[in-house]
Amino acid sequence: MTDQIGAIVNSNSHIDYVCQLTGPLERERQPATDAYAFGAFVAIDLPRQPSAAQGPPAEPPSLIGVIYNTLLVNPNFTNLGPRLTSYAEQTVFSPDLIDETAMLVGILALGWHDGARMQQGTPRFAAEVSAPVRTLTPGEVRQFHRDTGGSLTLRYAAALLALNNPLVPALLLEIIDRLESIFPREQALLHVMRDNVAWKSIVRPAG
Amino acid sequence: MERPETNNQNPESPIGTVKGPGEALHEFTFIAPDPERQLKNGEFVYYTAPVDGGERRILGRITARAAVKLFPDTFMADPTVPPQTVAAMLGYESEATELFELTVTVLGYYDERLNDFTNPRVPPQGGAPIFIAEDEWLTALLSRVRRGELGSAHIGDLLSRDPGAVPVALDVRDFTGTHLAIIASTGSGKSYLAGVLLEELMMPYNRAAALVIDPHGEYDTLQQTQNLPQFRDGSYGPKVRILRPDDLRVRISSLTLPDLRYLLTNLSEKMHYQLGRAFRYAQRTWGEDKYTLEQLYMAVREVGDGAQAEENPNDVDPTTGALIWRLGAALGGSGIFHDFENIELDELFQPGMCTLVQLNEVEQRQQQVIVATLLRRVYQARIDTQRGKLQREDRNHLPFPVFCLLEEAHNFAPANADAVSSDALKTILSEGRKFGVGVGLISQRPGRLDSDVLSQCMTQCIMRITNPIDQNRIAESVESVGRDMLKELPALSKGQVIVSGASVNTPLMLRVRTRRTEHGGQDIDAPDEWRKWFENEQPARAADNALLLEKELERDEDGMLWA
Repeated sequence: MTDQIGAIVNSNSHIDYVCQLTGPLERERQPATDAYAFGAFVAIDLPRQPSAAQGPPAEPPSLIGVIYNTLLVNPNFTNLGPRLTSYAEQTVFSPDLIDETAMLVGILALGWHDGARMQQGTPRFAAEVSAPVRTLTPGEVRQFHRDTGGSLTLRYAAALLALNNPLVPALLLEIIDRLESIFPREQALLHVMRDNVAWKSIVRPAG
Repeated sequence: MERPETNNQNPESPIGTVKGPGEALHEFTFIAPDPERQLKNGEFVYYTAPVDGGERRILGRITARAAVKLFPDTFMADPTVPPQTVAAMLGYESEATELFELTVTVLGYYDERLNDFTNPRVPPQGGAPIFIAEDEWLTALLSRVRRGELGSAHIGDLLSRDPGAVPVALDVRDFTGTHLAIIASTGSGKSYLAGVLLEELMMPYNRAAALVIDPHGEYDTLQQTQNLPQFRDGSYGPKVRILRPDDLRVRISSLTLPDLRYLLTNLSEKMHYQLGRAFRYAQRTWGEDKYTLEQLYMAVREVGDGAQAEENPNDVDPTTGALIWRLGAALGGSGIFHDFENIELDELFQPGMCTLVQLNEVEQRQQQVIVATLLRRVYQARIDTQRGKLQREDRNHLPFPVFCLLEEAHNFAPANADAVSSDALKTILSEGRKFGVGVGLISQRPGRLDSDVLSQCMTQCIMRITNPIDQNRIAESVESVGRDMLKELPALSKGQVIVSGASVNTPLMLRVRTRRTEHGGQDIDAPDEWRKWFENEQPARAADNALLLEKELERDEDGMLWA
């Protein structure tokens, strides 16, 4: 399991969450830039369901999502007045100001892990505020993209495209590029999908 | 005909769902996934509707098929990756990947009283189920007669079904009464179909009196019917008589004035006039049908200018001389036109007998005159027999209907030219029904066939036609075949035929059945013949030459060397 990169602070819809990355004052180790890069797969912890309490699952349930957006929050932006302390002194004299400066990432939930196995699709349960977020390991990404029959699956692609978000085509291309390195045998299949998305998002708008 | 099952008890599950009305009033559309590819163009489907207080099956024919759901083209970018795999990756794992919209032309329910389909004008409800018509029901419905019944000609089975599943029999009564046309381009199997038809006519359940005008001599193999057990029934066995060009005889006195004018080419006005006078003179003097070529010459001289001709026969006027010369060239040198001999009609026609008149090696104008004379005589004989003018002992007594099949019919009734046989054919096509003279026309160039002649044939068998002029002629002349069927013409394969008109209940696309006798109209296998020449002929020639070389050469009186 990887380290936590942040926590859920808000949501825009059932599948669209906002995660605040761990700040410099919260933990000693800051998340690596790769961990919250565009197209990185993450897991958002879900509260345990009472019904599932009888048999303890191997892992806690979680939403599986992908980082599709990044926002910077800086309360000092546009505050052009003079300040008596230098930035180095601010950690001592005004730590709240440092704390309010944050990096937010948008996460789209693409599936879930019910404790036993991973599935793609719109999850039934929603994450809670402050739910920890961590990146998926390459093994977990591979597992997430295999169906029960062992075939490569990309069921969330249609749902992503339906969002009509300008970042989605680039996100899909990024995901497919990542998957090509994870699934070398399915490269031809992924190429068809990549070309399809690229044509619609790159060639057709320019034509 | 047995009443088909009309109760709404459908053992089979529906194959589609009605979408709504089509473009034309008698059309509707339905949606079907058709995973088994059953719903081909021309396939028969039905829905049920209330008619006269009961539910009846309303039959229709599929006339168009369009896809309404297909994989996106981009899913097919890589031939090694099936689009189904791409769809499955995206989460679409269903096998229902296609959906079709099918247009159906409503034929209606079969009305036994009218002996035809009646459109009840009750459109199907949107969402109503559509069923595919069962083989047995269709078999009973499409043909007016059952295979093997009196007056049936089983020519094949429905193309959209499995071979042999829905046999179709033409009604012999209809096509021998209201005539038949077989139209097909070369190599699409028209002679084969004609062979099948003649086989059926010779079957014990038909025993027809048939005559085939065979300009290429390709129906010889029909003789095999005489030995095959399928054609025998008790004492009955078909006869096949072949008249080769050497056996053909047309008595000169049986030729009409138009026949003579047609045979003698490049006649001047004066010659036309003199020939007419001479013809009438001969008829008056020696009686109709009783003069010879020599007497015709005499008649030409008699009516010619210049009385001196009688005193000095060598000094005739130029017109008389030219006319006599032409008569001699056309009639005198021919082995066919004869002073006394004529083929008697009872030699040509007899129930249970098929006569093949082979006209290969006969010049085309002579072919036309022979056919015109023959048709005219048959028609007149039938009229006279029907009206009681001829009795059993009379020479041309013909007390049964006859059927004449003409190969290369465009030569006998050409579209933009006058042929002497055209008039005789047109008379029979328009009036022959009343007197039991049926005609079947076979042509590979309907564009060159007289459109009146073609439109008088009420049963049409149309095979593959790719020439657009020919297709247009068919569209103009053959009303019973819908546009949807005509679109299929270039796509038909060898041995597939569209049959429409009087002998079937609705236009049908059929697969012609296998012939019981061998097919005689096959092309020469040129490479095989060439190879045989090297194997057989060349060694024989080499041997002959070797013999010659062994002989000593001798010089004749002219100084030439001879072996």
